[in-house]
Amino acid sequence: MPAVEIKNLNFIYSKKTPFEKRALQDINLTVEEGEFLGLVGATGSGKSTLIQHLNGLIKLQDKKRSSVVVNGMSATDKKSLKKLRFEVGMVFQYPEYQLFEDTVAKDVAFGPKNMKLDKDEIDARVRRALEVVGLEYDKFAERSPFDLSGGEKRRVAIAGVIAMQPKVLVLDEPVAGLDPVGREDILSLVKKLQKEVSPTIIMVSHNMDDMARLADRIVALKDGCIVANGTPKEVFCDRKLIEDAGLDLPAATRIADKLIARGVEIPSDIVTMDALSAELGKALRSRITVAAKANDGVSEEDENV
Amino acid sequence: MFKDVAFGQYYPTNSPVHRLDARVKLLLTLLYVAAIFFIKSYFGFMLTTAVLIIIVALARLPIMSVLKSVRGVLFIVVFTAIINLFFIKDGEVLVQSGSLIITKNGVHTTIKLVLRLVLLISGASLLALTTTPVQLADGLESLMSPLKLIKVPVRDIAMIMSIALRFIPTLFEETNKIIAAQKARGACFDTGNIFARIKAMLPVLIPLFINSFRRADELAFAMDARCYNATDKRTRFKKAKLGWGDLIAFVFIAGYFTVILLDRYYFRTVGIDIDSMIFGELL
Repeated sequence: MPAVEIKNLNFIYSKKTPFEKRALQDINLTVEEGEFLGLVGATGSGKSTLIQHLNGLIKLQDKKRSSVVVNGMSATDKKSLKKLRFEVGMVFQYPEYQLFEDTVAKDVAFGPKNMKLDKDEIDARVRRALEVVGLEYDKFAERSPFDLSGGEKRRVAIAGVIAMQPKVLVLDEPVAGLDPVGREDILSLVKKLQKEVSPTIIMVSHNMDDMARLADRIVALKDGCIVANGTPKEVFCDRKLIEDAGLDLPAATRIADKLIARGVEIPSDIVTMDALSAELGKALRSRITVAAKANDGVSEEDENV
Repeated sequence: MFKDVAFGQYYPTNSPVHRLDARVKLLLTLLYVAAIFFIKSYFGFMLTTAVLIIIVALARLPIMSVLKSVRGVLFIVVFTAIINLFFIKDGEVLVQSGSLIITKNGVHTTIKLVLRLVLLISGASLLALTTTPVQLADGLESLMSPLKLIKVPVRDIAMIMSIALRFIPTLFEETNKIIAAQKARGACFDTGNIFARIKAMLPVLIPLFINSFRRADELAFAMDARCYNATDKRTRFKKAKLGWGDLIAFVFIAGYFTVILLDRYYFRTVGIDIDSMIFGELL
């Protein structure tokens, strides 16, 4: 059973007013359990509207034709709506702006409390969630979330979502506005979360390097339509599509392109820095061997003379 | 969804009415409202309705957008209508059952009252429908500028007004975002009694306040960095200029106002009664 199944999804903002705007157009998308899906697209391409359908924050406009099903639960079903929200963890952009309690522990406990769990279970979950995001419970639990650093606040906010132990975790630009170290920390945290808490991850990002490195599959949106759907290699090797969708290439691909143009013999489907350095190493080694062979040839000739 | 609130009632069509100077529109709206209170005859109401329809047509507004604003006060209209209908007891009795009496006088008063309210609200809503909040604030500032002579801080008031208007959509958007985020964590805002509901709003209100203060700080810095000083003489980027359209609009409404005054104070004294000319025996 796929974790997420979206069929014929359409959405129009401010219907029948001069401000009418089509945000989603016939979206069909399936996300398998255990998959890391990268969602990319320019600002206003419909990413946020799409992900808010996953836990019923935005209601379906055409219930007859379209459907959104997450782990067998329909997003239109009012009775299972709450359950659905606990099943789909949603980390919005700048989640630290949603902190409100006077201590970190209380804020992280907000979700589990709404799940009506008993007190011991809530405590255990808060402890574990803080631990997973790398904040020591004894050190942080009783502090005010407003006294923490930006990166720490964001971790608290993420802990608040994963304390509900969602099966599907949706992250909307989780590294926006962080410094390079903070970015790396959060990205490795996301990978860790996939292993330990939520097997299925849907991440929105504008950073193609992160996407190429982390995602199993990339879906690109443009003006509310899916314009690309495939592995990072498939998507980023289609240069025309990338340009049409208004997207960037990963830095590794751009470097590889330039190197190929200069005559370096490496494949053209490189999307990550790791692959690039591996291929460059290979190319370099083969050049050395060729050069060495050539050298050997020269010295043999010398001897003959 | 939030666009409805973000721009107030403003309905953009780029019509001649939209292009009128905001100051002129403000003054003419006042004149229109004043005129409505001088109306006593059905002819006056018919004339007003005609004027209103002409303006709506010129502004290329859907008639529903105007009626929508009436819907907001529908309760008051119906309530006052009922009170008037049953509590005016003088004049010829039309219906009587027990202590309930409806008189001819009461019916006339009620119809006129409803017309007055509906025309008043729809006329005033035209201003909001055809003028952006920022234009309105600028227009008000300009109209209030004589108050500077008596040391009223008109510029400050105008700046506060513009900033407040500017941040309504931002705040609204932010509120929606926070509500979405807390809902995603299982928050519920529409169940329980009033106290439970107020308490449920705390996870929204606290971040909203904190973010607003942060934003106010940032805005103050940004204004300071660009040497904002409310007391100095400041020039405008967009200077409103009166045009021919403004003159025509003024003549139109002033003419309407004059006819209403004539209808009330003059026509009858010289023996012209337009109401009975139109409706005859019906009244």
